Amino acid sequence: MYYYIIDPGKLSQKQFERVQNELYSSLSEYRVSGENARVSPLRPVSTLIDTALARGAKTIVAVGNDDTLHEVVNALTGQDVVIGFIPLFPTELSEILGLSSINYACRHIAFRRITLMDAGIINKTLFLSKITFGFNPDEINKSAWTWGLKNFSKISNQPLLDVRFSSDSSFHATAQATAGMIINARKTNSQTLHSDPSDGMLDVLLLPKLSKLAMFKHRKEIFSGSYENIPTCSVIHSQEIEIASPEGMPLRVGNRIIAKTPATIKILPKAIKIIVGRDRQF
Amino acid sequence: MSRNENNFAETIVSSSMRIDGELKSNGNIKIDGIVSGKVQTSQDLMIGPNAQIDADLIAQNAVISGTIKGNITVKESILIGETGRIIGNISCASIGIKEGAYFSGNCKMQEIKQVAVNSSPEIEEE
Repeated sequence: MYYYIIDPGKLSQKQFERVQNELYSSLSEYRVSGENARVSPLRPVSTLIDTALARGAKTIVAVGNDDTLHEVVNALTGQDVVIGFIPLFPTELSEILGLSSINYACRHIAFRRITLMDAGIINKTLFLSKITFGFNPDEINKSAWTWGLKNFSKISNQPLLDVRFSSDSSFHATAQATAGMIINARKTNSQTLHSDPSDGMLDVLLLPKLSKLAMFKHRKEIFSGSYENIPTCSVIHSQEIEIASPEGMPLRVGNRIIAKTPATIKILPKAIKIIVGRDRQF
Repeated sequence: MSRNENNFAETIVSSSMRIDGELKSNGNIKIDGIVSGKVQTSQDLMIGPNAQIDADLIAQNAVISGTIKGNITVKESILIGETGRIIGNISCASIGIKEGAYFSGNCKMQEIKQVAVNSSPEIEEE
C-alpha cells in the first residue's frame, strides 16, 4: 500500500495545483495510486507518518523537496518501511537518487528499484546528503555564474574557522578553514572524489583561506562545492567525526541549520531502504 | 600542488591541517601538513615539501619531499626528493635519492632474488 505525504513547501497555490495535476495523472498512469495526505501546520509529517504506519503502509513516499524527504526519513527511524521520493521540482537529492521529475519518479516507484543507502546521523537527526559549515555553496545565487560581486564578497568575507575534530577515535586534527563539508552523498560529479552513499564512509572536505586571485581562479569549484579540486583543500574519510570547536558553529543541511558544534556525526551504513531511479549517482 | 596530484590521493592533509594520532587509509595519501603519530596505507604515500611528519610511515610506495622523523616501511619503492629530509630508518625494496636530499638512518633493503638462467644450447659446430 502506498502512502503519499505531500508537502507543497514554498510553492504558490497556482504552482502547486499544476504539479498536483501532473502528480495524480502520473500516479494513475503507472498504477501506483494510494492514500494521499497533505502536510499542514496542524498535520506535520510526523503525525502523517504515525497515521500511515497505523494503516499498515509498506511504502511511504515523500512528495515535495529535500526537506520533506529528510523529515520523512527521520520520522521513520527504526521502521521497516520502503521510502520513496517524488520531487515537485529538481533538487539535490532528486538528482542523487536519479528521480529527475514527477513522471520519472512515479515510473520508478512502479518499478520498485529498491536499494539500501547510508544515512548520516548528527545529534539523533538523520541526513542523506551533506552537512556544511562556514561558507555554504547552496546559498550562492547560481544564476550569477559570471561572478557577481555579491557572491565574491560572501566568500572573501568569510571568517577563518579554527576547526578541531577527531576521527574514528584514531586521531585528532586541527585545521584552519573557511568552509567545510561532511558528505554522505552529493550531486556534484567529481572525478577525484565520488561520494558514494553506500560505501559506509563520510567524506570530510575542508577549504582553507584562499587569496582573492585563487578564489577567482577556483570560483567554479567553490560555487559547485567541489572543494577537492582546489589544490589546498583537505580530504579525510571517516565513519565518525566529532567536531569540538569552534563552539556554537551552525551545521546546515541545505539551508536549514540542524545542529551546532560541538557535535558528533556518524554514518549508519545501509540504514535506509529507498526507491531509486536508473540514473542514480551511486 | 597541481590538480593531477589532487587526483592522485584519496586522503589529503593540506598545509593548514595538523593531525595527532593514527591516520589510516586504503587509498593513496598526500600530506602537506603536520602529522605526529603513525601513517599507514596499503597504497601510495606522497609527502609534500612543506610537510612535517613526526611519525612512522607504512606504505606500498612513497615519494618524500618533506621532513620526516620516524621509521619508514615501504613494500616496494621509496623516492627521496631534493627537498626531502629523513631522520629514521627505512625498509624498502627499492630506493632512489635525489641530489640535495638528506637521509640519516639505516636502510634495509629486501634481498634481490636470483633469477635462474637456463643454460643456452650448445652451438653445433659445422
